[in-house]
Amino acid sequence: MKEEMASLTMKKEFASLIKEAVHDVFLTFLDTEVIPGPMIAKKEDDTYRPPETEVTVIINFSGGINGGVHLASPLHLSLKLASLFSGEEYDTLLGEAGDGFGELGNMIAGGLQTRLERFGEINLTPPTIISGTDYHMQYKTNFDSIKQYFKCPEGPFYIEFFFWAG
Amino acid sequence: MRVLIVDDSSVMRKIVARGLRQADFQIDEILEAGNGQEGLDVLNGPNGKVDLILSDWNMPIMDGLTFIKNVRGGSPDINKIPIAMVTTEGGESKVEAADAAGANGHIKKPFTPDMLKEVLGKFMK
Ligand SMILES: [Mg+2]
Repeated sequence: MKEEMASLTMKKEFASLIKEAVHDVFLTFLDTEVIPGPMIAKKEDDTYRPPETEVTVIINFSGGINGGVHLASPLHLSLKLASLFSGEEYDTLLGEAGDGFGELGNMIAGGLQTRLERFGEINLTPPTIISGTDYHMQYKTNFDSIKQYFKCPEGPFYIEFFFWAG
Repeated sequence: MRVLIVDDSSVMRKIVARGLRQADFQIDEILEAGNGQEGLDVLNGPNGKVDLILSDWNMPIMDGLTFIKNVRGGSPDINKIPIAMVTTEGGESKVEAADAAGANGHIKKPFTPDMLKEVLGKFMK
């Protein structure tokens, strides 16, 4: 099962599961259109590099799959999506906006978790948010990953599913 | 009726409250708590009489599962209040654990008002 996860067929399937999970959350809670863009799989020989976007929500997986989900977006978009979610206006991610944006990432990761149940029970960590421009995130270099890009009228974002195929 | 919403996300508490109103339930008052311990404090407090509890699973200080166990093991005033889990945790073993602890329903995030109606209908007057 683990080796199978690294195959392109499987990565395409992961991408479509991400699209379903994102669609569910947007349809239910955000009154805006979301259009899937390209899927980009990490090349086999590349070392894994985490996102370098202005805002990244991190939800880690352990158990059936070790890895996690990143929701990565520019700051203005995360503020906008948080405000579509709660109905309030925000100019900072600190406090409620970050809480809301983190919860959006949490629900997308939860949707993926449910759809990946056949790999065994997966535990989720609560969302962590990294924001700003002057930081460096570091992970195990042997994670595999796919990024699924999306566009909504307010801007672009992507969901990355990263996992350790062992 | 009075409903207690227990969730560590303040935004999520708002969204759940909005969902309840959109589902056309007759809600007189919504009480909020940020984790299981705060939930117990509300229930055991002077103004804690509620008809239904909606609880998240993943919360700091006291999680939803421990919260349910404490409510079910609590005083006769609170131990029979219906509890529905509202959570991203939809795995079979999690649902079984919550049921074994005394949960009466499960709502998976993201939820629609219709999903709230379906699961909560039997508890609402
Ligand atoms: Mg939570």
